[in-house]
Amino acid sequence: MKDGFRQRMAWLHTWAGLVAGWLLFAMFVTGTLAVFRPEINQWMRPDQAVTRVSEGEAIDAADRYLRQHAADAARWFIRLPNPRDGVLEMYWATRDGEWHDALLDPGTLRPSVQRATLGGEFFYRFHFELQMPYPWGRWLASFAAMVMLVVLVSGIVTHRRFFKDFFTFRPRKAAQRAWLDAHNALGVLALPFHLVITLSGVITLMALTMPAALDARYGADSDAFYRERGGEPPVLPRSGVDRPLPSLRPLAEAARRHWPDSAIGTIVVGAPGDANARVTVLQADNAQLRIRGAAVVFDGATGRLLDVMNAPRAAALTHDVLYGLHTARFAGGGLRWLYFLCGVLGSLMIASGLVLWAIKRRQRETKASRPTFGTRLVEVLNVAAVAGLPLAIAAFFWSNRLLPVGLADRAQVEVWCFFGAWALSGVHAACARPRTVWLVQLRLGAAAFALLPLLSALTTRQNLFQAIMRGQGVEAGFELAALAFAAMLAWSAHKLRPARAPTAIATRIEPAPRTLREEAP
Amino acid sequence: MIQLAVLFSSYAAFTALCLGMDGHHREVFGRAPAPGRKRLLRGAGWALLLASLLLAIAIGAQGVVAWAVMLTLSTVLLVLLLAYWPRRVAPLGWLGLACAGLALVASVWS
Repeated sequence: MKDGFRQRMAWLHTWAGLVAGWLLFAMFVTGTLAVFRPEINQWMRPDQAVTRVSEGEAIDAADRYLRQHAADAARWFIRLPNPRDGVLEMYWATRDGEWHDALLDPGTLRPSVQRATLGGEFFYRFHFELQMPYPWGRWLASFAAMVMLVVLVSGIVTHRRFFKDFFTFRPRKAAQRAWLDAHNALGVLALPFHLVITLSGVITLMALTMPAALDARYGADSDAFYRERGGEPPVLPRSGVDRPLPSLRPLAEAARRHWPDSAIGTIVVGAPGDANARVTVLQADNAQLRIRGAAVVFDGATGRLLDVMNAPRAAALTHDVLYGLHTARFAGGGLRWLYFLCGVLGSLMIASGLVLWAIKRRQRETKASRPTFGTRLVEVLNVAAVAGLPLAIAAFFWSNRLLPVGLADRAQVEVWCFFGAWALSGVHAACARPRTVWLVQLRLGAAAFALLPLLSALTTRQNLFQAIMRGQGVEAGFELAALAFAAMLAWSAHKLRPARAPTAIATRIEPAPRTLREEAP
Repeated sequence: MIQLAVLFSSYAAFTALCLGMDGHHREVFGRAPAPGRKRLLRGAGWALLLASLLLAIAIGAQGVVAWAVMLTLSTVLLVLLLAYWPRRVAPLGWLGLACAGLALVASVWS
């Protein structure tokens, strides 16, 4: 009975892992990059001019700009500059529901960038929307995350031997053994991270995927739920009676007294200039684990304090903390790098699982001269997913430096370059000789990342050497990380190089030892 | 500084726990540990792990999150060390313990 259970879990782990693996790999990699979203933004906008101003000055600047350009909007969102991102970001919705945005230098109120790019925003969005229209991408991402939970739990059962041989990794053993060790080690050692990140990932989209309770209680009026739950800035419909909006800075300073030790993150103004105006001042999201900090609501006609939202109830708090753990906005520099590292481990765990599937299958088929269609398909998709994605990311960064600044739809063309490179990698994987595709694509990826600092030095006014000498941490960190990533890809290519016999992977396979057969599903 | 104490003490803890296992002790020292030594290593490992958790709790909520992720970092370092440089495991474990102590003293001092 016990064996039967483990076999079934192994079957589940193998197949669920395979089916969702390619997508999960892309989600893990882009999510890992999204940890450094503002930093990637900064690298991708090398001509960005930002004046550092105080919080009060930034609020005044936004206040001035919006009164001038969006006086009769339905609502304003003001995202204040912070130490990681000095840009003043504003969105506003007109009364017909049309959205506008402005990325400005808070000192001069001029656009902060000439080079249109989505920057790190692209990875952040792709991570949970998969470049699909709403809500399909979010649905698919949620589904993949749920499968990931299943794969993790069934994987714990399948690979439970690792808990007995904790710390075991034997890279010099036969390929399958080494891959299995690596897969186990990557999975188990970072298991706390994998479990928390996957569960919290499912939680972030739970209102979309598990709406039954909300529907039953609140029906069509989902806003009522968010009002009751608290933390959402209130926006009332316009009354039609004009009342001048008081200056925002004194309101922000009054709100700030509720959290003297941290900054203001966002200011939301509903119905500005109307008798029903509401001004909500929200605490910065890096001040606490939970995604939402404190918020203070003012009457936007009289300036009277209406509400202080700072004590979510247990269920809301649990949700907000899980959400916060997922996005890691609370994390300082060191912890952010640790998150990044764990994300890399998770990506490698998925990649090694996919490769392991193909190795095992190939091994079983060695007697037949040609692989079956299914095995071949998996191999092609493995290459396209695991080696192709780094190529696509490299193409995205290269296009950022190579496309002319004035190009129409420039930000979108960068995205096309990303998907174009990815598609080419798939075509190459399907058409080229199997023994060399891994090698070619990994080496190409290594070269693309290794040359990125050089490309950047040739096309912009900054270079890696200068960045290091001047202590520009973001620029230097980005390009050093690119070099490290190039080294990792080159090392993987080196490990996978074909020795003398027909296929890259099959050559290094020796007969499986007994213990392994017991473990194989 | 206290963050470093958490990292180093968790690293030292895992080194002790790892060497408290017959197989890994054999890889590093060429023989299985005597029963007393094994008990000592395991006890020290769990005690250090508990100590690193207490230090993390002293930092606050962020500290506990960082602790969980540092456990992963420590074990990954240890696994690579065991695979490629098994002779360095024991000395670096002692070094980790010493650094944890120094970091703790430095953080109390300042």
